Order: sequence, then structure tokens, then C-alpha cells
Amino acid sequence: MDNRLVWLSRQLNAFAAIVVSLVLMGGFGVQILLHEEPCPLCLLQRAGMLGVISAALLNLRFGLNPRRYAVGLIAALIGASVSIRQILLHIAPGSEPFGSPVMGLSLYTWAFIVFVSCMFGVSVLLLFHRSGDRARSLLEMNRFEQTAFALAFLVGLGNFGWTLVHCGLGLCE
Amino acid sequence: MTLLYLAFLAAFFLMVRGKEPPALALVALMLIAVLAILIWEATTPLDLVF
Repeated sequence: MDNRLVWLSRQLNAFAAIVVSLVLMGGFGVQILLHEEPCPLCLLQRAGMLGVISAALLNLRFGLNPRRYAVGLIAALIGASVSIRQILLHIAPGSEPFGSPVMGLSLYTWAFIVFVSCMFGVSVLLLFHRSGDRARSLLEMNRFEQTAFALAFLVGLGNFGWTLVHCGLGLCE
Repeated sequence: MTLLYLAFLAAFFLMVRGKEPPALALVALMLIAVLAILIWEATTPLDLVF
């Protein structure tokens, strides 16, 4: 039973990393297709999502551990703070929403929903946490877990490349 | 901002190579930097946000 729970938790960690990577790729898609440049706060939200992905990858690589789940929770909390800041800026009287809405909501509102979902998901995973997992190399992981690593790398590289070209090493303004 | 993503990429490679403490430290540094920029942005009158 414990082994099955550990296996399931690992797959859910991989699933979370893949979903958040796909969300970031979606952001890239909007950026390229709708020609919308991300704002500084959007870039910070992306970094928060990369923090959530990092926590899941740490769990997959070094074994499930409450300390690594805590990293994921902190990353989601910081990312949600940035999203809330942007939501509050744009609901102030006299201000306009930033960017085109996607399914009726702005991207920063979607980002807030993603961060809250991450907090909920990590809390559930912690609730059913069992010790007994061990560190595994990439070759020992299954295809699903390897996909999580590959997507995370692509997303990290894409964000790094784009930001380097458009903003250099300073703050994007 | 670019350095935040660079920190993630460095942490990723350290993870793949099996070096957990430095990878965790880089992720923590990245998150602290995000929080610091957020606080700085919210408390200075610069027009950084649009």
C-alpha cells in the first residue's frame, strides 16, 4: 500500500510539473501569436511557476520529502502574491485590464488560479505523504517523469533566451 | 529578470547531476529575489508595472 502511494505521489509530482510547464508554454503561445510582450510582474509570476516546477523535480530526483513540498508551497505563495498585486492594480477604479483576456479572464488571474491550485495539490500530497522513496537518476525514471524534466528544461530555456534577448541582464521595463 | 531564469536553469542542471543542496539553494535564492523585486516594486514610485 505504501509503495503504491509513493508511486502515485511521484506520478502526481510529474503531472504537476508537466501541467505548470504547459501553462508556461501557453503563456509563450499568447506572447507569440497575439504579439503581447509580458510585463515585469508577468515575468515574476513565471519565475514563481518555475519555483513550483523545481519543487516537483526535486521530489522526483531526490525522493519525496516534506521539505521539498514546502519549497513548492512557498513558491506558489510568492507567485500568488505577485498575481494578487497585479489583479489589485487592474481592478482599481480608472485602470484598464492588461493584455487580452483568455476565456474571459486575464492571464494574471489565470496565474493566480494556477498558484492556488498548486497550493491545494501540494497540501493534498502532503496529507498522504509516506516516507520510503529514494533518489533516482533520470535513467531510472519512467517516461512520464522524464517528460516532466524535458518540458521543464524547454520552458526554462525558452524563458531565459527570450528575456536575455529582450531585457538583457537588467529589469524589463 | 534574466538572472532568475538563469538560476532556474543552473538549479536544473545541478538536480540532474545529483547535487541537491546547491540546487535547493539556487531555487531558494530565485524565490527570495522574486519576493524582493515584488516588495521593491510595490514600495517605490517607479512606473515598472503596466
